[in-house]
Amino acid sequence: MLQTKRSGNIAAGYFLALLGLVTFIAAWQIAEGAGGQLHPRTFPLILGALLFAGGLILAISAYRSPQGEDKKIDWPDHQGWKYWLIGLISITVYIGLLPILGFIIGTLLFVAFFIWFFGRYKPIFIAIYALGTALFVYLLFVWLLQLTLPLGPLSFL
Amino acid sequence: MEAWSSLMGGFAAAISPLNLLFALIGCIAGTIVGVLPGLGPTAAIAMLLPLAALLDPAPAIIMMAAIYYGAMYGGSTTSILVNIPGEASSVPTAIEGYQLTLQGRAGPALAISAISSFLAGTLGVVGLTFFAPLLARAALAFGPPEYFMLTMLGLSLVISLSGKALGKGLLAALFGLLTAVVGMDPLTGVARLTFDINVLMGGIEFVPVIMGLFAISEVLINVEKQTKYILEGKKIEWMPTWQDIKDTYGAMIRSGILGFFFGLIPGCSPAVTSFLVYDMERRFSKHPEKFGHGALDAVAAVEGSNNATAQGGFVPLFSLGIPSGPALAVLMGGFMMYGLQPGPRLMQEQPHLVWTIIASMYIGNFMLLVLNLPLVGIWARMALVPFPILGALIVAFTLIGAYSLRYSFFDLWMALLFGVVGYLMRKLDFPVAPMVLAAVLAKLMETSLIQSLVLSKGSPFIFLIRPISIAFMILIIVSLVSGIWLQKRAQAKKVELEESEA
Repeated sequence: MLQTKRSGNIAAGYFLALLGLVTFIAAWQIAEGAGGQLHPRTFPLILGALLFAGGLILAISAYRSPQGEDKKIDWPDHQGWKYWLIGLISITVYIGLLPILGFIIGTLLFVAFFIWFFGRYKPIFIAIYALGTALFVYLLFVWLLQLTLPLGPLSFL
Repeated sequence: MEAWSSLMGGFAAAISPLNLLFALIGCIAGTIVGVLPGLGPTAAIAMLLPLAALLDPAPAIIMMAAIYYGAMYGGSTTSILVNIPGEASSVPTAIEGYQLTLQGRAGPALAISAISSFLAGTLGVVGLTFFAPLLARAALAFGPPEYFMLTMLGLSLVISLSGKALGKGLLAALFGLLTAVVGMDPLTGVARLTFDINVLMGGIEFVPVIMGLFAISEVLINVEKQTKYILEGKKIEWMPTWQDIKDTYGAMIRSGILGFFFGLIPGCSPAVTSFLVYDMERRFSKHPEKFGHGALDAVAAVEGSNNATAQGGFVPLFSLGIPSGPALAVLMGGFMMYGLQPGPRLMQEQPHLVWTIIASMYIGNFMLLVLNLPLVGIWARMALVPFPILGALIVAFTLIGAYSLRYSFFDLWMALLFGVVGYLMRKLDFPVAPMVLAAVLAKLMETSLIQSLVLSKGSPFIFLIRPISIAFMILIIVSLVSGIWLQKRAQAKKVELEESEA
């Protein structure tokens, strides 16, 4: 499924057409604004309609293009997918835990995991890099630039 | 000649040790916040405002101005090295510069961008020195109809940005416009396409979107390929050759002049300038086929125009008291803390202060060049860091940058979501640049259209009776027609080539 550029274009076209359709329908719900020459829903309506039409055109023209001659999409192999997924999940977990753990501990754990999993360095190196990054984040963003980053358990800093 | 002698007086004051020291502090601080993605000069200047209580006006304002234009120097660094454009105006730099890094040419790209920043920035200060009162009126000639036409001109670049995939480029642009529509209507405040989700009311900020499309998707691509080093077994160049400088100086000067003029227009997004300059260079270039695969002159042009735009912004600020963007508005706050009101009266009442600040900009630009060139070697070594470490740092710094914009975790999820979207767009050959451009322009486009129609009481003919608006319209038509024509010709050439090969 979705092996070739042709099938990719068909899928992308249908997806965009669907997105356009949803936009178009949702745009009718937009309330009237006070005074103005242009209704707030005008622009989204036009966008929805254009996306719907454009998506369909892409899908149909891809559908009509000859089968079998086109290039394959450069998807990763089985191992590649595994790594891709683990990369994505690690970022998702990182973002998900940030409000609880804060940026310093969260970054420390994320960097340690990422380097360990994709680099397989010695634990001592991983510890040094992760601690170094966390310290750098603290010194630069919290101490020097005074950004109000959530710090979780380290909020006393 | 009056400007000349005033400038000399300004120099005499600007080289006092205290003023030099604060110019240097401003340059260093500006470079730091410029390098960090997501952080910009606005926050840095605001943070240093309290210093005004301790300092005289001259050193304080010299420092704040240096932060502002210094940040433009740093902006290219992460775009070139790790494909993180910290703001929309660096997107073309990321497109071209990162390709150069992959070819082992990060050093020349960074150095050329510093040199171009210096040259174009200095050109901008020259413009500010000699033409400020003259050009200030140009800022006033810009009303909503002109802004609307300018955004349309920007959007017409979608055609040349899409390359071969015009249809997909247009779809990407529509998608970009769609992301910008979500949230509150810019004029009436009505919720649009928010599906009653509270957090969507604030809209989708485009910087996290850009960071996702470029940086996160880059990490995902490298993770799946299990990249060990982003450049493998290629030799690395640290510094540009004379040939590189010879090849790019034309681009630096052209972009400096164009960037300065766009800087005069308050509220015109610097991203518009970057993309316009990028497109112009492709048309002027002797080797347009290099564009998209690491064109050094594109890096020079875009970075130069960023700096010239920054300097141009001081013209309406000094002569009319109009800040052309958030950073200059905070800088104006700096003036006000001393009871000074930028504008025509400031030029008359405090000419010495204004000229000292202008003179310090020449010095500041030179300091930035001297500061940034040695850094090139250090930065360029980042390409040698193994990817597992580099990738982790890219993700961490991208997310911290995205968070620091509005202090919202929602923006982090957006960066991740658009990271996946960017990944799919790359796999399916959708060009990313048109989407970024459209997302950046959407708000200004819609607001200026509505305001124009309010001005004209609903008549669309307002665009046809204003000279600047008509000029833009002609430019749009020329750009569209020549863009399509160039593409047809390139395609015909390709077919010819393929036939002759077969």
